Amino acid sequence: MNQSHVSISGLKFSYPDGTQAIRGVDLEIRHGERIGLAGENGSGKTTLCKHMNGLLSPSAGRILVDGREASSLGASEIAAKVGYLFQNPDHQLFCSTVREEVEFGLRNIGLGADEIGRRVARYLEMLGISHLAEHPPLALSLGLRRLVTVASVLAMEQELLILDEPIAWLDAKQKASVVGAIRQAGTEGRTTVVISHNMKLMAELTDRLIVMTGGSIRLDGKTKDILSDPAAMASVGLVSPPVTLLAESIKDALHFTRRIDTNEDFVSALRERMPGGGTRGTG
Amino acid sequence: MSVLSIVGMSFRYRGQSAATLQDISLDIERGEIITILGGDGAGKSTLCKTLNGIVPDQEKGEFSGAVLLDGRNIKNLPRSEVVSRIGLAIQDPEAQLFTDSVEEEVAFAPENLGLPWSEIDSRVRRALSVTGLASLPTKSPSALSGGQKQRLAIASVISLLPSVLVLDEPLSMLDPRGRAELLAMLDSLKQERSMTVILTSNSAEEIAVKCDRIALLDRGRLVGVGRPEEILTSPDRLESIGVEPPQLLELSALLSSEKLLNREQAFFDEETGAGRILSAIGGRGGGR
Repeated sequence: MNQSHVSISGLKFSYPDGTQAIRGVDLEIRHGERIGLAGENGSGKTTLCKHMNGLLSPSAGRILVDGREASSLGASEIAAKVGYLFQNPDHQLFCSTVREEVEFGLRNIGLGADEIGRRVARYLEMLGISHLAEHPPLALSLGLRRLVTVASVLAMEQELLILDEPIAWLDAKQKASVVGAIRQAGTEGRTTVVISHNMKLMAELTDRLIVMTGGSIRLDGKTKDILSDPAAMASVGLVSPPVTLLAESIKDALHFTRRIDTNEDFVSALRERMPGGGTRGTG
Repeated sequence: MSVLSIVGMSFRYRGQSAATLQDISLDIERGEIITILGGDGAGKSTLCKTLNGIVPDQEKGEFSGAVLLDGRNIKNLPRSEVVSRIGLAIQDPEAQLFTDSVEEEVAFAPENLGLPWSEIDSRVRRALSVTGLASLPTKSPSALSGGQKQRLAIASVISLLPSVLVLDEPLSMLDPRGRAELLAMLDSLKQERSMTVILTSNSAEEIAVKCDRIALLDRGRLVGVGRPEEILTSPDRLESIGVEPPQLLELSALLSSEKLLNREQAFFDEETGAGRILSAIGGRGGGR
């Protein structure tokens, strides 16, 4: 659990057009951590993550995955170690059926037919798309295309999962199945890095939050500590979840002391202020 | 007269057995901001495309009913008038970006309208400024981040200064600052130009709580139209049609199930919530 899974030191990266996207990042990610990566559009989140699966090579500095330079790993080694969900589902769909799409990566890492069948069934069911197995993915709605890519990535069962905006374009039911699937991956001990602008999602899925601005890490701490601090959030161009802002506006009147970033926290805080403490149903 | 009227409209894509839109009727007023809320597959994107004629002109199928712009059926209007007066930014920004620079992308539509250069220049500057892209005029659209691409797709429609602005899922990739700026921009377009704005979303957070009206779309049918306080009353109802409820509406439902608040005291915005909680809890002697 405490062993370093990803180790980044002095990382800098500039795109060919000269844009300096990463301006010196040092970061240690331990095995099994559930990490959120937030920041404004263009702050470098996606660029940083593309170094973790060797899609980009540093202009300076180094990035180690399981102790080895990410950019030196071969495609098959990377595919076995790091799962990467692209921001735009259409960048990773190319097979003629949903089933083939999920099978593709599994075949490439040499799994047997039984194991492939088991994983395809498991992840299609987890994402609620078993009934679409024989459909062409590109004929599906954007939300369903996103679910297919999530199933394809999760089925690989890599130790490190990078999920770039996993719930963009998803409706409420689809979000619930993706959140459940990512949570399950965390429970199974896989390291998860979730990139999102949705702070409610961060509260649900991550324990540690890293916030980037202008290609550098500005905040790195417990998700709850950062989300429940509206001033810290504002300093990096982010906004706390609505329930945190509501709690903030009445915390003095109600003497709230606990950190609040979920509705459940709010109810607990309110109970503590009720006559008789934690008893239920006062009227 | 309504600026846009949808009259008994139904549409079934060629090759599909089920209709994507069924008997939709809706009048939209000048200067109104209306959010169409629905789950994935509810028909939101198809509805957007009917508003400027992409459906059924380019995406074929069986279409009935009509879309009226200022009382005139858009199918009888010149195409150039329809696309310049009803601006549409589609769901996937990458699918509509094709030039070599941010500036060219935004200038493309006004250039095609044959506007004088000074007018094009001023529209491009304003659109880039309100979408926070003013510092990136020469950047290649393909080199932008996901959220920046979404801002650019919106800027390239705003530069048309349409009477009706249709934005399909405009918030999906935007950061909080981008969302706040977009909302402020829509408000100023409404105030200054009486622009009508139609947005879609699968989440009732943020935009839906601030718009003038909400239309709920479920499997191709309109199942509710009204002001936010009339529509955002039950998180379960929203979830049942695939719409993510506002977090504070879920909180008020939770407080009511925990008997800390009455059901009639439901809220979805911070100010109302603070008032209701303080009066309910204060009245019980809490907070001392």
